[in-house]
Amino acid sequence: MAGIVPQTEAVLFEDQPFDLLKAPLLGHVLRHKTSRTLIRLALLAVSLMMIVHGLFGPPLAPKNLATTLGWVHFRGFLILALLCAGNFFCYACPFMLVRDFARKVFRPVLNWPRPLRNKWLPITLLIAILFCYERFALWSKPWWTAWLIIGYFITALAVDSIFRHASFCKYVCPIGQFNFVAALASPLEVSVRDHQVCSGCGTLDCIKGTQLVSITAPLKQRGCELALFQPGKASNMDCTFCLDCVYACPHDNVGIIRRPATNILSGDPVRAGIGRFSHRKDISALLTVFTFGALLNAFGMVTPVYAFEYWLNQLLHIGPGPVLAIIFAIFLIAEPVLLLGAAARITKTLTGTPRSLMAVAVRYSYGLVPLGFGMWLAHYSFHLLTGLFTIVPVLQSALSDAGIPVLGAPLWRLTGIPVRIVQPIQLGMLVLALASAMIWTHTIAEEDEPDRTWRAFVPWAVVNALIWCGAVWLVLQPMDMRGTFLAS
Amino acid sequence: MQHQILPSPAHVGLSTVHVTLTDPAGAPLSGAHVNMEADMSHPGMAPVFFSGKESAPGSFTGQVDLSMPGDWTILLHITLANGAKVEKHFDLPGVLAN
Repeated sequence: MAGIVPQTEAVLFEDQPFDLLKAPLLGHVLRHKTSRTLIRLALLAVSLMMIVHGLFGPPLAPKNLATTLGWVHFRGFLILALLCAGNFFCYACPFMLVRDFARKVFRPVLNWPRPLRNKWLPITLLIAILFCYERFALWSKPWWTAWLIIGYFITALAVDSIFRHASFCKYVCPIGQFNFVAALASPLEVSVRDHQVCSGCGTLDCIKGTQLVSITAPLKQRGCELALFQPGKASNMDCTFCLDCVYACPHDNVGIIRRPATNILSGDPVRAGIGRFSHRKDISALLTVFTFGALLNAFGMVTPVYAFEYWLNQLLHIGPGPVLAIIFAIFLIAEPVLLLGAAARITKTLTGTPRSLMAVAVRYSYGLVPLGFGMWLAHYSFHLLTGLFTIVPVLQSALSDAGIPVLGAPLWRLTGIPVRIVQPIQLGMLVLALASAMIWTHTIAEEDEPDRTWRAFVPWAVVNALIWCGAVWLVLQPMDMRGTFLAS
Repeated sequence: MQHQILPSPAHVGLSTVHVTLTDPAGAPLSGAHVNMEADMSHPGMAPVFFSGKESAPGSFTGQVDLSMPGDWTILLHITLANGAKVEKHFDLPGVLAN
Protein backbone atom coordinates (compact mmCIF):
# COMPACT_ATOMS: atom_id res chain seq x y z
CA MET A 1 0.00 0.00 0.00
CA ALA A 2 1.72 3.06 -1.23
CA GLY A 3 2.22 5.87 1.27
CA ILE A 4 1.95 3.65 4.32
CA VAL A 5 5.20 3.05 6.11
CA PRO A 6 5.44 -0.41 7.72
CA GLN A 7 5.40 -0.13 11.51
CA THR A 8 8.94 -1.46 12.06
CA GLU A 9 10.31 1.02 9.51
CA ALA A 10 8.40 3.85 11.13
CA VAL A 11 9.81 2.96 14.55
CA LEU A 12 13.29 2.79 13.07
CA PHE A 13 12.82 6.19 11.46
CA GLU A 14 11.65 7.71 14.73
CA ASP A 15 14.60 6.20 16.57
CA GLN A 16 17.15 7.72 14.26
CA PRO A 17 18.05 11.27 15.29
CA PHE A 18 19.07 13.74 12.63
CA ASP A 19 22.60 13.07 11.41
CA LEU A 20 24.25 15.87 9.43
CA LEU A 21 26.64 13.44 7.78
CA LYS A 22 23.63 11.68 6.25
CA ALA A 23 22.12 14.90 4.91
CA PRO A 24 21.89 14.84 1.11
CA LEU A 25 24.49 17.36 -0.04
CA LEU A 26 26.25 18.76 3.02
CA GLY A 27 26.72 15.30 4.53
CA HIS A 28 28.39 14.10 1.35
CA VAL A 29 30.73 17.11 1.36
CA LEU A 30 31.61 16.80 5.05
CA ARG A 31 32.36 13.07 4.83
CA HIS A 32 35.22 13.79 2.45
CA LYS A 33 38.48 14.69 4.16
CA THR A 34 39.42 16.83 1.15
CA SER A 35 36.54 19.16 2.01
CA ARG A 36 38.15 19.92 5.38
CA THR A 37 41.47 20.69 3.70
CA LEU A 38 39.80 22.93 1.11
CA ILE A 39 37.81 24.84 3.72
CA ARG A 40 40.93 25.29 5.85
CA LEU A 41 42.85 26.47 2.78
CA ALA A 42 40.14 29.03 2.08
CA LEU A 43 40.28 30.31 5.66
CA LEU A 44 44.08 30.33 5.53
CA ALA A 45 43.87 32.53 2.43
CA VAL A 46 41.44 34.85 4.22
CA SER A 47 43.75 34.95 7.28
CA LEU A 48 46.74 35.86 5.12
CA MET A 49 44.69 38.56 3.42
CA MET A 50 43.74 39.95 6.85
CA ILE A 51 47.37 39.92 7.98
CA VAL A 52 48.64 41.69 4.88
CA HIS A 53 45.87 44.30 4.93
CA GLY A 54 46.21 44.75 8.68
CA LEU A 55 49.93 45.42 8.41
CA PHE A 56 50.03 47.42 5.21
CA GLY A 57 46.45 48.61 4.56
CA PRO A 58 44.56 51.66 5.84
CA PRO A 59 45.02 52.28 9.58
CA LEU A 60 41.33 53.12 10.02
CA ALA A 61 39.49 50.04 11.34
CA PRO A 62 36.25 50.37 9.29
CA LYS A 63 38.34 50.43 6.11
CA ASN A 64 40.58 47.48 6.90
CA LEU A 65 39.95 43.78 6.24
CA ALA A 66 41.73 42.65 9.43
CA THR A 67 39.42 44.54 11.76
CA THR A 68 36.23 44.30 9.70
CA LEU A 69 36.49 40.56 9.06
CA GLY A 70 38.02 39.77 12.43
CA TRP A 71 35.86 41.78 14.83
CA VAL A 72 32.60 41.92 12.88
CA HIS A 73 32.17 38.94 10.57
CA PHE A 74 34.36 36.20 12.03
CA ARG A 75 32.94 36.56 15.54
CA GLY A 76 29.37 36.91 14.27
CA PHE A 77 29.40 33.88 11.99
CA LEU A 78 31.27 31.84 14.62
CA ILE A 79 28.56 32.35 17.22
CA LEU A 80 25.76 31.79 14.68
CA ALA A 81 27.38 28.51 13.56
CA LEU A 82 27.54 27.42 17.20
CA LEU A 83 23.88 28.32 17.64
CA CYS A 84 22.62 26.57 14.51
CA ALA A 85 24.96 23.58 14.31
CA GLY A 86 28.14 23.15 16.31
CA ASN A 87 31.84 23.91 16.54
CA PHE A 88 32.44 24.27 12.81
CA PHE A 89 34.93 27.10 13.17
CA CYS A 90 37.39 24.73 14.86
CA TYR A 91 36.67 22.29 12.01
CA ALA A 92 37.75 24.99 9.56
CA CYS A 93 40.66 26.27 11.68
CA PRO A 94 43.50 27.44 9.40
CA PHE A 95 46.04 27.16 12.23
CA MET A 96 45.67 23.37 12.10
CA LEU A 97 46.43 23.31 8.39
CA VAL A 98 49.73 25.09 8.97
CA ARG A 99 50.44 22.89 11.98
CA ASP A 100 49.82 19.69 10.03
CA PHE A 101 52.14 20.92 7.30
CA ALA A 102 54.83 21.80 9.83
CA ARG A 103 54.52 18.39 11.43
CA LYS A 104 55.81 16.87 8.23
CA VAL A 105 59.11 18.48 9.24
CA PHE A 106 58.95 18.66 13.04
CA ARG A 107 57.87 15.43 14.67
CA PRO A 108 56.77 16.26 18.21
CA VAL A 109 57.91 13.74 20.79
CA LEU A 110 56.92 15.31 24.11
CA ASN A 111 53.60 14.99 25.85
CA TRP A 112 51.93 18.12 27.23
CA PRO A 113 53.12 18.61 30.85
CA ARG A 114 50.80 16.88 33.28
CA PRO A 115 50.34 19.93 35.60
CA LEU A 116 49.02 21.89 32.62
CA ARG A 117 46.50 19.30 31.49
CA ASN A 118 43.55 21.42 32.53
CA LYS A 119 41.82 24.67 31.58
CA TRP A 120 43.63 27.07 33.89
CA LEU A 121 46.15 28.23 31.27
CA PRO A 122 43.55 28.86 28.52
CA ILE A 123 41.27 30.58 31.07
CA THR A 124 44.15 32.95 31.84
CA LEU A 125 44.75 33.51 28.13
CA LEU A 126 41.05 34.11 27.48
CA ILE A 127 40.96 36.73 30.22
CA ALA A 128 44.19 38.24 28.86
CA ILE A 129 42.66 38.59 25.39
CA LEU A 130 39.49 40.16 26.80
CA PHE A 131 41.64 42.53 28.86
CA CYS A 132 43.88 43.53 25.93
CA TYR A 133 40.82 43.96 23.73
CA GLU A 134 39.50 46.64 26.11
CA ARG A 135 42.81 48.11 27.26
CA PHE A 136 44.27 48.64 23.81
CA ALA A 137 40.97 48.99 21.86
CA LEU A 138 42.03 46.15 19.56
CA TRP A 139 38.85 46.54 17.52
CA SER A 140 40.14 49.88 16.27
CA LYS A 141 43.70 48.77 15.44
CA PRO A 142 44.26 46.81 12.21
CA TRP A 143 48.00 46.54 12.80
CA TRP A 144 47.59 44.96 16.24
CA THR A 145 44.79 42.73 14.97
CA ALA A 146 47.14 41.42 12.28
CA TRP A 147 49.80 40.74 14.91
CA LEU A 148 47.25 38.93 17.05
CA ILE A 149 46.57 36.57 14.13
CA ILE A 150 50.31 36.15 13.49
CA GLY A 151 50.85 35.47 17.20
CA TYR A 152 48.15 32.82 17.06
CA PHE A 153 49.80 31.08 14.10
CA ILE A 154 53.23 31.17 15.79
CA THR A 155 51.90 29.87 19.12
CA ALA A 156 49.92 27.04 17.50
CA LEU A 157 52.96 26.07 15.44
CA ALA A 158 55.37 26.24 18.38
CA VAL A 159 53.18 24.30 20.81
CA ASP A 160 52.22 21.55 18.40
CA SER A 161 55.74 21.26 16.97
CA ILE A 162 57.01 20.42 20.43
CA PHE A 163 54.10 18.57 21.99
CA ARG A 164 52.22 15.60 20.62
CA HIS A 165 48.50 15.33 19.84
CA ALA A 166 46.32 18.45 19.77
CA SER A 167 47.91 20.08 22.81
CA PHE A 168 47.32 23.60 21.49
CA CYS A 169 43.58 23.01 20.91
CA LYS A 170 42.94 21.24 24.20
CA TYR A 171 45.19 23.10 26.62
CA VAL A 172 46.08 26.49 25.13
CA CYS A 173 43.73 27.96 22.50
CA PRO A 174 41.39 30.57 24.09
CA ILE A 175 39.12 30.68 21.02
CA GLY A 176 38.87 26.90 21.16
CA GLN A 177 37.81 27.00 24.82
CA PHE A 178 35.20 29.62 23.98
CA ASN A 179 33.90 27.33 21.23
CA PHE A 180 33.95 24.24 23.47
CA VAL A 181 31.81 25.94 26.10
CA ALA A 182 29.39 27.48 23.62
CA ALA A 183 29.10 24.14 21.79
CA LEU A 184 27.68 22.61 24.99
CA ALA A 185 24.50 24.42 23.96
CA SER A 186 24.79 23.56 20.25
CA PRO A 187 22.21 21.24 18.71
CA LEU A 188 24.71 18.88 17.03
CA GLU A 189 27.37 16.62 18.50
CA VAL A 190 29.99 14.37 16.92
CA SER A 191 28.80 11.12 18.35
CA VAL A 192 28.51 7.35 17.95
CA ARG A 193 25.55 6.24 15.87
CA ASP A 194 25.12 2.81 17.40
CA HIS A 195 26.91 1.89 20.64
CA GLN A 196 26.41 -1.82 19.96
CA VAL A 197 28.70 -1.52 16.95
CA CYS A 198 31.40 -0.01 19.21
CA SER A 199 31.09 -2.77 21.78
CA GLY A 200 32.07 -5.25 19.07
CA CYS A 201 35.01 -3.15 17.85
CA GLY A 202 38.47 -4.40 18.73
CA THR A 203 40.62 -1.94 16.81
CA LEU A 204 39.50 1.36 18.41
CA ASP A 205 40.42 3.29 15.30
CA CYS A 206 38.50 6.38 16.39
CA ILE A 207 41.09 6.99 19.11
CA LYS A 208 44.15 5.10 17.89
CA GLY A 209 43.90 5.89 14.21
CA THR A 210 43.81 3.46 11.34
CA GLN A 211 45.86 2.39 8.36
CA LEU A 212 44.45 3.26 4.99
CA VAL A 213 45.66 1.60 1.84
CA SER A 214 46.42 3.91 -1.04
CA ILE A 215 47.78 3.11 -4.46
CA THR A 216 51.22 4.46 -3.69
CA ALA A 217 51.78 3.85 -0.02
CA PRO A 218 49.93 3.02 3.18
CA LEU A 219 48.67 6.15 4.92
CA LYS A 220 47.77 6.52 8.53
CA GLN A 221 44.49 8.19 9.41
CA ARG A 222 44.89 9.61 12.87
CA GLY A 223 42.29 9.11 15.56
CA CYS A 224 41.08 11.77 17.99
CA GLU A 225 44.02 13.89 19.07
CA LEU A 226 42.03 15.32 21.96
CA ALA A 227 41.65 11.93 23.65
CA LEU A 228 37.90 11.78 23.13
CA PHE A 229 37.23 8.06 22.75
CA GLN A 230 33.94 8.07 20.89
CA PRO A 231 32.01 5.43 22.88
CA GLY A 232 32.80 7.36 26.07
CA LYS A 233 32.26 10.84 24.65
CA ALA A 234 29.20 12.55 26.10
CA SER A 235 29.28 16.24 25.19
CA ASN A 236 30.91 18.73 22.84
CA MET A 237 33.49 19.73 25.47
CA ASP A 238 36.98 19.58 23.90
CA CYS A 239 35.59 18.46 20.53
CA THR A 240 36.98 20.45 17.60
CA PHE A 241 34.63 18.81 15.09
CA CYS A 242 37.77 17.88 13.12
CA LEU A 243 36.03 14.63 12.11
CA ASP A 244 39.22 12.56 12.38
CA CYS A 245 37.13 9.98 14.25
CA VAL A 246 34.62 9.94 11.38
CA TYR A 247 37.38 9.34 8.84
CA ALA A 248 39.03 6.71 11.04
CA CYS A 249 36.02 4.59 12.01
CA PRO A 250 36.01 1.51 9.75
CA HIS A 251 32.36 0.87 10.61
CA ASP A 252 31.09 4.29 9.51
CA ASN A 253 29.62 4.54 13.00
CA VAL A 254 30.34 8.17 13.89
CA GLY A 255 27.98 10.94 12.86
CA ILE A 256 27.18 14.57 13.61
CA ILE A 257 24.02 13.89 15.49
CA ARG A 258 21.28 16.09 16.90
CA ARG A 259 20.88 15.75 20.62
CA PRO A 260 19.01 17.69 23.30
CA ALA A 261 21.43 20.07 24.96
CA THR A 262 20.21 19.04 28.43
CA ASN A 263 21.69 15.56 27.81
CA ILE A 264 24.99 16.81 29.18
CA LEU A 265 23.31 17.46 32.54
CA SER A 266 22.03 13.90 33.01
CA GLY A 267 24.05 12.07 35.61
CA ASP A 268 27.74 12.62 36.04
CA PRO A 269 29.40 9.96 33.89
CA VAL A 270 33.13 9.61 33.35
CA ARG A 271 33.55 11.36 30.02
CA ALA A 272 36.30 10.26 27.67
CA GLY A 273 39.22 12.68 27.74
CA ILE A 274 37.57 14.82 30.42
CA GLY A 275 36.51 12.75 33.42
CA ARG A 276 33.55 13.70 35.56
CA PHE A 277 32.31 17.25 35.13
CA SER A 278 31.76 17.41 38.90
CA HIS A 279 35.51 16.89 39.44
CA ARG A 280 36.54 19.58 36.97
CA LYS A 281 36.68 22.89 38.85
CA ASP A 282 38.72 24.27 35.95
CA ILE A 283 35.90 23.63 33.47
CA SER A 284 33.43 25.20 35.89
CA ALA A 285 35.70 28.25 36.11
CA LEU A 286 35.84 28.35 32.32
CA LEU A 287 32.03 28.33 32.09
CA THR A 288 31.88 31.12 34.65
CA VAL A 289 34.42 33.28 32.81
CA PHE A 290 32.55 32.57 29.58
CA THR A 291 29.26 33.77 31.11
CA PHE A 292 30.42 36.78 33.09
CA GLY A 293 32.96 37.66 30.39
CA ALA A 294 30.04 38.03 27.98
CA LEU A 295 28.55 40.74 30.17
CA LEU A 296 31.92 42.39 30.75
CA ASN A 297 32.80 42.46 27.05
CA ALA A 298 29.50 44.18 26.24
CA PHE A 299 29.82 46.50 29.26
CA GLY A 300 33.05 47.80 27.72
CA MET A 301 31.07 49.29 24.84
CA VAL A 302 28.22 51.16 26.48
CA THR A 303 28.09 54.69 27.81
CA PRO A 304 27.89 53.99 31.60
CA VAL A 305 31.27 52.22 31.60
CA TYR A 306 33.05 55.51 30.92
CA ALA A 307 31.43 57.23 33.88
CA PHE A 308 32.34 54.25 36.07
CA GLU A 309 35.94 54.26 34.84
CA TYR A 310 36.22 57.99 35.41
CA TRP A 311 34.76 57.64 38.91
CA LEU A 312 37.28 54.91 39.77
CA ASN A 313 40.07 56.99 38.31
CA GLN A 314 39.13 60.01 40.41
CA LEU A 315 38.54 57.97 43.55
CA LEU A 316 41.74 55.97 43.52
CA HIS A 317 44.02 58.23 41.46
CA ILE A 318 45.21 55.32 39.34
CA GLY A 319 45.88 54.92 35.64
CA PRO A 320 43.81 53.23 32.95
CA GLY A 321 45.44 49.78 33.33
CA PRO A 322 44.72 49.42 37.06
CA VAL A 323 41.19 50.83 36.56
CA LEU A 324 40.46 48.15 33.99
CA ALA A 325 42.07 45.48 36.18
CA ILE A 326 39.71 46.46 39.01
CA ILE A 327 36.71 46.27 36.68
CA PHE A 328 37.83 42.81 35.52
CA ALA A 329 38.33 41.69 39.13
CA ILE A 330 34.84 42.91 40.04
CA PHE A 331 33.08 41.28 37.09
CA LEU A 332 35.10 38.08 36.65
CA ILE A 333 35.97 37.26 40.26
CA ALA A 334 34.00 39.15 42.91
CA GLU A 335 30.59 39.05 41.21
CA PRO A 336 30.68 35.33 40.30
CA VAL A 337 32.08 34.31 43.69
CA LEU A 338 29.40 36.33 45.45
CA LEU A 339 26.48 35.17 43.30
CA LEU A 340 27.45 31.51 42.94
CA GLY A 341 28.66 31.27 46.52
CA ALA A 342 25.43 32.72 47.91
CA ALA A 343 23.27 30.49 45.68
CA ALA A 344 25.27 27.40 46.67
CA ARG A 345 24.98 28.28 50.37
CA ILE A 346 21.19 28.78 50.11
CA THR A 347 20.86 25.54 48.12
CA LYS A 348 22.71 23.64 50.82
CA THR A 349 20.53 25.15 53.53
CA LEU A 350 17.24 24.54 51.72
CA THR A 351 17.98 21.01 50.53
CA GLY A 352 20.30 19.72 53.23
CA THR A 353 22.59 18.23 50.60
CA PRO A 354 25.78 16.79 52.08
CA ARG A 355 27.79 18.06 49.11
CA SER A 356 30.38 20.75 49.71
CA LEU A 357 29.71 24.37 48.81
CA MET A 358 32.21 24.12 45.96
CA ALA A 359 30.65 20.91 44.61
CA VAL A 360 27.21 22.54 44.50
CA ALA A 361 28.59 25.65 42.77
CA VAL A 362 30.52 23.54 40.24
CA ARG A 363 27.45 21.45 39.43
CA TYR A 364 25.05 24.36 38.95
CA SER A 365 27.54 26.50 37.03
CA TYR A 366 26.57 24.46 33.94
CA GLY A 367 23.16 26.07 34.10
CA LEU A 368 24.79 29.44 33.31
CA VAL A 369 26.02 28.37 29.87
CA PRO A 370 22.86 29.35 27.92
CA LEU A 371 22.91 32.83 29.47
CA GLY A 372 26.55 33.39 28.57
CA PHE A 373 25.90 32.04 25.11
CA GLY A 374 22.86 34.30 24.74
CA MET A 375 24.82 37.41 25.71
CA TRP A 376 27.71 36.64 23.36
CA LEU A 377 25.13 35.92 20.66
CA ALA A 378 23.27 39.18 21.25
CA HIS A 379 26.52 41.18 21.28
CA TYR A 380 28.22 39.62 18.27
CA SER A 381 24.97 39.50 16.29
CA PHE A 382 24.61 43.24 16.83
CA HIS A 383 27.94 43.93 15.14
CA LEU A 384 27.40 41.31 12.44
CA LEU A 385 23.87 42.36 11.52
CA THR A 386 24.37 46.13 11.71
CA GLY A 387 27.62 45.86 9.72
CA LEU A 388 26.76 42.85 7.57
CA PHE A 389 27.47 44.42 4.19
CA THR A 390 30.39 46.63 5.21
CA ILE A 391 32.77 43.92 4.11
CA VAL A 392 31.77 44.62 0.47
CA PRO A 393 33.21 48.16 0.21
CA VAL A 394 36.21 47.22 2.38
CA LEU A 395 37.03 44.36 -0.01
CA GLN A 396 36.41 46.59 -3.04
CA SER A 397 38.71 49.20 -1.56
CA ALA A 398 41.42 46.65 -0.69
CA LEU A 399 41.38 45.25 -4.22
CA SER A 400 41.44 48.74 -5.72
CA ASP A 401 44.41 49.67 -3.52
CA ALA A 402 46.14 46.49 -4.70
CA GLY A 403 45.66 47.58 -8.31
CA ILE A 404 42.97 45.00 -9.15
CA PRO A 405 39.68 46.92 -9.06
CA VAL A 406 37.65 43.95 -10.34
CA LEU A 407 34.77 44.65 -7.95
CA GLY A 408 34.46 48.32 -8.93
CA ALA A 409 34.47 51.44 -6.79
CA PRO A 410 33.77 50.94 -3.06
CA LEU A 411 30.11 51.19 -2.15
CA TRP A 412 30.69 52.83 1.23
CA ARG A 413 27.01 53.38 1.82
CA LEU A 414 26.45 49.64 2.27
CA THR A 415 25.97 48.92 5.96
CA GLY A 416 23.60 46.35 7.36
CA ILE A 417 20.33 45.97 9.22
CA PRO A 418 19.18 49.07 11.16
CA VAL A 419 19.65 49.05 14.94
CA ARG A 420 15.89 49.48 15.49
CA ILE A 421 15.38 46.05 13.87
CA VAL A 422 18.43 44.37 15.40
CA GLN A 423 17.65 45.36 19.00
CA PRO A 424 14.36 43.39 19.22
CA ILE A 425 16.21 40.39 17.72
CA GLN A 426 18.83 40.74 20.47
CA LEU A 427 16.12 40.87 23.13
CA GLY A 428 14.48 37.78 21.62
CA MET A 429 17.83 35.97 21.84
CA LEU A 430 18.12 36.92 25.50
CA VAL A 431 14.59 35.72 26.27
CA LEU A 432 15.41 32.34 24.72
CA ALA A 433 18.69 32.28 26.63
CA LEU A 434 16.89 32.86 29.94
CA ALA A 435 14.33 30.15 29.14
CA SER A 436 17.15 27.72 28.26
CA ALA A 437 19.10 28.60 31.40
CA MET A 438 16.02 28.00 33.53
CA ILE A 439 15.41 24.62 31.85
CA TRP A 440 19.07 23.61 32.30
CA THR A 441 19.07 24.68 35.93
CA HIS A 442 15.77 22.90 36.63
CA THR A 443 17.14 19.76 34.96
CA ILE A 444 20.16 19.82 37.28
CA ALA A 445 17.95 20.42 40.32
CA GLU A 446 15.61 17.62 39.31
CA GLU A 447 18.52 15.27 38.72
CA ASP A 448 20.28 16.06 42.01
CA GLU A 449 17.34 16.70 44.32
CA PRO A 450 14.32 14.76 43.04
CA ASP A 451 12.45 15.33 46.32
CA ARG A 452 13.44 18.97 46.79
CA THR A 453 13.72 20.11 43.20
CA TRP A 454 12.18 23.55 43.71
CA ARG A 455 14.24 24.28 46.81
CA ALA A 456 17.39 23.55 44.79
CA PHE A 457 16.12 25.37 41.73
CA VAL A 458 14.98 28.71 43.19
CA PRO A 459 18.37 30.13 44.31
CA TRP A 460 19.87 29.44 40.91
CA ALA A 461 16.81 30.74 39.11
CA VAL A 462 17.35 34.01 40.98
CA VAL A 463 21.01 34.05 39.84
CA ASN A 464 19.87 33.43 36.26
CA ALA A 465 17.31 36.22 36.53
CA LEU A 466 19.86 38.69 37.92
CA ILE A 467 22.36 37.94 35.16
CA TRP A 468 19.60 38.21 32.59
CA CYS A 469 18.50 41.61 33.91
CA GLY A 470 22.10 42.78 33.57
CA ALA A 471 22.23 41.48 30.00
CA VAL A 472 18.96 43.20 29.02
CA TRP A 473 20.12 46.46 30.60
CA LEU A 474 23.33 46.25 28.57
CA VAL A 475 21.52 45.57 25.29
CA LEU A 476 19.24 48.57 25.88
CA GLN A 477 22.20 50.92 26.45
CA PRO A 478 23.35 53.00 23.48
CA MET A 479 26.47 51.56 21.89
CA ASP A 480 29.36 53.90 22.60
CA MET A 481 32.57 52.75 20.99
CA ARG A 482 35.33 54.70 22.60
CA GLY A 483 38.88 53.94 23.40
CA THR A 484 39.81 57.39 24.57
CA PHE A 485 40.20 56.76 28.28
CA LEU A 486 41.39 53.18 28.64
CA ALA A 487 43.08 52.81 25.29
CA SER A 488 44.97 56.04 25.46
CA MET B 1 45.46 72.86 8.76
CA GLN B 2 43.26 73.96 11.64
CA HIS B 3 39.90 72.52 12.54
CA GLN B 4 36.98 73.18 14.85
CA ILE B 5 33.82 71.22 15.68
CA LEU B 6 30.61 72.81 16.90
CA PRO B 7 29.06 72.05 19.29
CA SER B 8 32.06 71.15 21.38
CA PRO B 9 32.12 68.52 22.79
CA ALA B 10 30.31 66.95 19.85
CA HIS B 11 27.02 65.14 20.39
CA VAL B 12 25.09 62.62 18.31
CA GLY B 13 23.24 64.52 15.58
CA LEU B 14 24.23 67.45 13.42
CA SER B 15 27.64 68.99 13.98
CA THR B 16 29.45 71.66 12.04
CA VAL B 17 33.03 71.08 10.94
CA HIS B 18 35.21 74.13 10.20
CA VAL B 19 38.53 73.56 8.46
CA THR B 20 41.11 76.18 7.58
CA LEU B 21 43.75 75.31 4.99
CA THR B 22 46.94 77.28 4.64
CA ASP B 23 50.15 76.87 2.70
CA PRO B 24 53.51 76.50 4.50
CA ALA B 25 53.84 80.28 4.59
CA GLY B 26 50.47 80.61 6.32
CA ALA B 27 48.56 82.02 3.33
CA PRO B 28 44.98 80.70 2.92
CA LEU B 29 44.51 78.01 0.25
CA SER B 30 41.43 79.20 -1.56
CA GLY B 31 39.71 77.55 -4.49
CA ALA B 32 40.14 74.02 -3.16
CA HIS B 33 37.45 71.32 -3.20
CA VAL B 34 37.09 69.67 0.19
CA ASN B 35 35.12 66.44 0.58
CA MET B 36 34.83 65.24 4.14
CA GLU B 37 34.16 61.82 5.60
CA ALA B 38 33.41 60.78 9.18
CA ASP B 39 34.33 57.23 10.28
CA MET B 40 33.85 55.50 13.60
CA SER B 41 36.76 53.77 15.30
CA HIS B 42 34.87 50.45 15.30
CA PRO B 43 34.63 48.40 12.10
CA GLY B 44 31.23 47.52 10.72
CA MET B 45 30.05 51.12 10.65
CA ALA B 46 29.37 53.00 7.43
CA PRO B 47 31.21 56.28 6.91
CA VAL B 48 29.26 59.52 6.65
CA PHE B 49 30.17 61.63 3.62
CA PHE B 50 29.68 65.38 3.44
CA SER B 51 31.24 68.27 1.58
CA GLY B 52 32.83 71.46 2.76
CA LYS B 53 31.86 74.80 1.28
CA GLU B 54 34.34 77.64 1.17
CA SER B 55 32.93 80.31 3.49
CA ALA B 56 36.03 82.54 3.39
CA PRO B 57 39.36 82.20 1.54
CA GLY B 58 40.88 78.89 2.70
CA SER B 59 38.08 78.31 5.20
CA PHE B 60 35.68 75.42 4.63
CA THR B 61 32.52 74.47 6.51
CA GLY B 62 30.49 71.27 6.36
CA GLN B 63 27.68 69.68 8.33
CA VAL B 64 27.89 66.08 9.47
CA ASP B 65 25.23 63.87 11.04
CA LEU B 66 27.05 61.80 13.68
CA SER B 67 24.88 58.73 14.13
CA MET B 68 26.39 57.12 17.23
CA PRO B 69 28.29 58.07 20.36
CA GLY B 70 31.94 57.07 20.51
CA ASP B 71 35.21 57.86 18.79
CA TRP B 72 35.15 59.25 15.26
CA THR B 73 37.81 60.25 12.75
CA ILE B 74 37.24 62.98 10.17
CA LEU B 75 38.96 62.43 6.83
CA LEU B 76 39.49 65.28 4.42
CA HIS B 77 39.86 64.53 0.70
CA ILE B 78 41.22 67.82 -0.65
CA THR B 79 41.71 68.79 -4.28
CA LEU B 80 43.75 71.99 -4.41
CA ALA B 81 43.19 74.72 -6.98
CA ASN B 82 46.20 73.46 -8.95
CA GLY B 83 44.66 69.94 -9.14
CA ALA B 84 46.93 68.37 -6.54
CA LYS B 85 45.21 65.93 -4.20
CA VAL B 86 45.88 65.92 -0.45
CA GLU B 87 44.49 63.64 2.26
CA LYS B 88 44.28 64.86 5.87
CA HIS B 89 42.54 63.58 8.95
CA PHE B 90 41.87 64.46 12.56
CA ASP B 91 40.32 62.58 15.45
CA LEU B 92 37.00 63.44 17.00
CA PRO B 93 37.04 61.44 20.22
CA GLY B 94 34.23 60.89 22.67
CA VAL B 95 31.15 62.02 20.75
CA LEU B 96 28.44 62.04 23.40
CA ALA B 97 24.96 60.57 23.37
CA ASN B 98 22.09 63.06 23.48
